[in-house]
Amino acid sequence: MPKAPKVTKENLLPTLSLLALLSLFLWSYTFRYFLFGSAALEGDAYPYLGHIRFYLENIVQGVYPLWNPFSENGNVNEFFLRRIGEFNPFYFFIVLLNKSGFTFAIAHRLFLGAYFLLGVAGFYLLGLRIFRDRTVALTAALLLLFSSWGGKVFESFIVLELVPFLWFAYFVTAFVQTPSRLFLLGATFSLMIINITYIPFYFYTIFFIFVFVFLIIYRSQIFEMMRPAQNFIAKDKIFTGICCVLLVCSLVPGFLWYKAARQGEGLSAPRHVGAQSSDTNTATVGISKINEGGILPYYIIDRQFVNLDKLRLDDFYLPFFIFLMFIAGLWTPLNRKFVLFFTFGLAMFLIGLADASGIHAALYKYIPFFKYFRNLQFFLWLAVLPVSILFVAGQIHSFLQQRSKNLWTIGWIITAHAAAVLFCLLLGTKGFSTYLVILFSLAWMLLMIFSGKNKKLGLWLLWAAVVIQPFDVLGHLAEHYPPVAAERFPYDNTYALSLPTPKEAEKILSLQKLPSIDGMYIPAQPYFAISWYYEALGQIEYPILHRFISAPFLLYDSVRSTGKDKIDYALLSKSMAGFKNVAFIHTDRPLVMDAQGSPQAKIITAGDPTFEILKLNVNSLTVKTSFPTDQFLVWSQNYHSQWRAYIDDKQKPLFRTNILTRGLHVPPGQHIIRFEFEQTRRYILAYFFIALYAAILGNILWLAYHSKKYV
Amino acid sequence: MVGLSLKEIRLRFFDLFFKRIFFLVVIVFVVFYITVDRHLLKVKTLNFLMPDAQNMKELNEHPEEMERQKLTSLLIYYKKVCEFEANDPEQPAPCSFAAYAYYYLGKTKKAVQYYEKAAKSNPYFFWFRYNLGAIYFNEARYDKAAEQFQQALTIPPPNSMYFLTLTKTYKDLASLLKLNTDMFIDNLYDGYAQAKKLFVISTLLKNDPGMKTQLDVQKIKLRLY
Repeated sequence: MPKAPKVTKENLLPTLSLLALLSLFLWSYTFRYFLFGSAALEGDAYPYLGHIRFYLENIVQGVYPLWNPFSENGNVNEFFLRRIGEFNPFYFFIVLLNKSGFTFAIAHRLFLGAYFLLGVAGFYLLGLRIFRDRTVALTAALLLLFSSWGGKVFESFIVLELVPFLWFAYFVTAFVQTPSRLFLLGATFSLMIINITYIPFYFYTIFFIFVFVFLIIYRSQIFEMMRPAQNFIAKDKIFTGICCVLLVCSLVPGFLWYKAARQGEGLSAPRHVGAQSSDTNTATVGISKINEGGILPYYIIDRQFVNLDKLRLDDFYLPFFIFLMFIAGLWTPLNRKFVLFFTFGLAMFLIGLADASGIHAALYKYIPFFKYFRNLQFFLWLAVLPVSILFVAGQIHSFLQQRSKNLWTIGWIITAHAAAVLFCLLLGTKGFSTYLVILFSLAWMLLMIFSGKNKKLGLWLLWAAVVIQPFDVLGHLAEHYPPVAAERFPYDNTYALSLPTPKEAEKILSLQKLPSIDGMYIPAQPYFAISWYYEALGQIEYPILHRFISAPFLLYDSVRSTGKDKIDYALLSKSMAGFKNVAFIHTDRPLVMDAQGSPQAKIITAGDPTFEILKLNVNSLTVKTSFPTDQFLVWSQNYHSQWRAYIDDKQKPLFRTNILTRGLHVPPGQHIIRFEFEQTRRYILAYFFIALYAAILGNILWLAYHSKKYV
Repeated sequence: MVGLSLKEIRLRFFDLFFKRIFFLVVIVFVVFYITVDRHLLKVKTLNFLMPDAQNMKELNEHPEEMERQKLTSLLIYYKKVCEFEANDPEQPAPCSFAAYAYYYLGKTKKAVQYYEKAAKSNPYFFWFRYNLGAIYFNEARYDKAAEQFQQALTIPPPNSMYFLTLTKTYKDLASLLKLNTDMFIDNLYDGYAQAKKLFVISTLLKNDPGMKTQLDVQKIKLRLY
């Protein structure tokens, strides 16, 4: 296959462009409540807003936030950065909008909408590459646009995965057909985004299954297909080599996170439940946890055809036209494309069924990376939905090419549409729009058969058949959601360590009687926290723990070493409850401090002349101390082995204290103490990646601008 | 087909069925029915739809004050259970819960339909007939109400207790709401007494609708159980 066939030349470009713009407008209008902040974000979309906001608000100040002091008394932020894929340069679109006057929440929503539309644009280009027909490609894009993906954008985070998936598919297809630097770099960049966002194993599962099926179906043509790409790579070794190096670089953040997870300090206990005890990597997921999820076909069918008026953001939905076209096109002759899409889609569907099909269990057992992801229902959204659309687009393409006037064909089309009406009536499908779709679809097909020249009218009928029902159905989505309350985050204020006033400190210390646990807020198990925090939650009553860590800094005159393993939690609990003037450090290293001070530890208060905060950001803290005697300073945030302490630029041991906090011996006199999370090289690496990703995107845009042909 | 050889007919048949998208649909069904554990899928669907304890409590205590959305999600769940347990002796219970939710959503016809379905599957449970009678009574259809109350009163109480204490749906509900056997017995006792009274009133009203004002029936709005 030396060159891709040319795109069918039609004078329909103005009509297609108008329909595309109209569709964008309709989609934006349909989701206006979500785009402009009137309806609340749901599900995971809401915490992701928090993660992205936290990241952007720090990065614009030049701070790459590896530590999150707002989360669960201090948390490793790498976990959340991996989820969002922080090096994605498109995030700066949010910053631009924010600086232009939009609130962060609105800027974020507009970004989500625009990012999804970018994905749809990639899907259009992919359709164009596969079918070489603008009408078919636009129809496929509209089917994706008006599927439940539109709602999913505001309910989940997986749009952050969908968009690079679609663009990767486009760039690879384009590169195989017409190799160029633009497409190779584009595919590389898409894969780099995939590698840093959430869990790339979803993509790799989809990719390897697709490649496997492709190799089986196209085995006789594969060498011919790959020849142009091979020749390109042979000619442009340096550029190809650079792309390979870039890909390897993109694996570094994930690898670093994997390494950190093996150490076990950051833990997602709900996720890790059921994992084998031999599996010390806290990022693994137990098979029982995975099997709780999966694709639920009975639920999907119910939502798709019967209870459309109850559709919610997270429900799976395809425009009714897809089913009409599928049934009307049942007698379309098979070709390799259909077999490819079908086999791949079926394989992904079966894997997505989790324990209901047994395939996933085998993959989990024999392929290591299957232990690191659990939401198998994502395959429905990321693979089955797009490939179903491509399948039906193939049927549309066949129909438009043949337009058979055969009586059987016409009879079947009419029968299929009549059966659809009956089907809807029997199921009690609500809403007039579904019946309108059937009408427009029938009108379009008959027009194409009998009057193929009237293409503009045909386009409008086809567009109406695709768009009418979803416009009606999705337009009601916002009705199911309450108006959004002002979105409050722990990050609403700039990070500041506010020290208590002396009166407040007295109050904290004087609460000798513990309030009863009944009526006291006990937080649900954190989704992700430092393992010491989980330990403290499990061993110490929450009211005691909560009060103890409410004082940011404590000073102790005495220290006891408990050793690493044998911790007397009852003793600790009593000590923490009474703020006894003994800090318990969990180390085998002996550190003796046994001064006879007051019976209670001292809470550092605002205005204390012996303690001054000089510099503060989420990753570091610099203070000036001038204690008259030896003190053991405890910072009540969670301990983590990557926190380092320096006194006058000399590194000193930082101890895990009272189960979860961090403590440091401070000698008397004036000192500058610096606490830092992670080493400098880690930050340099992060800034390098931010610049690298932005540079690659810039390069792609430059190549696209100068490219003669990219469709 | 006339004039075609057997080979040509076979080729045409092969072309018509095996070289068409229709064949892929057949494969999907075959694969789905052979390899997929459909029962497990049903169970997972039900687990996914299962309402939380707070909603169940509200449904039991203040159904008329429940938010529509919550009632709808309960309805969807019980309808699904009713559908999945079509051949199960336990089926009447979730069907009756669906009927209950339908009633408080204002869909009386559907409520009657599901209670009729439940009563048909298990004619020996007092509350199905009682609730049907209550619905008809509230709709001022006293002839039908009288019929249902009379049928309810003919059901021996032990049959109803048997169903209440052994059906999974009721057992789960009892465990969730901390109901015990004594409470069931008390409710049943009150129910029979109420049904007797309502049967008499319905019969009187059926024969003499003019008695409505005398009996002050407009003020009676029967609760379902």
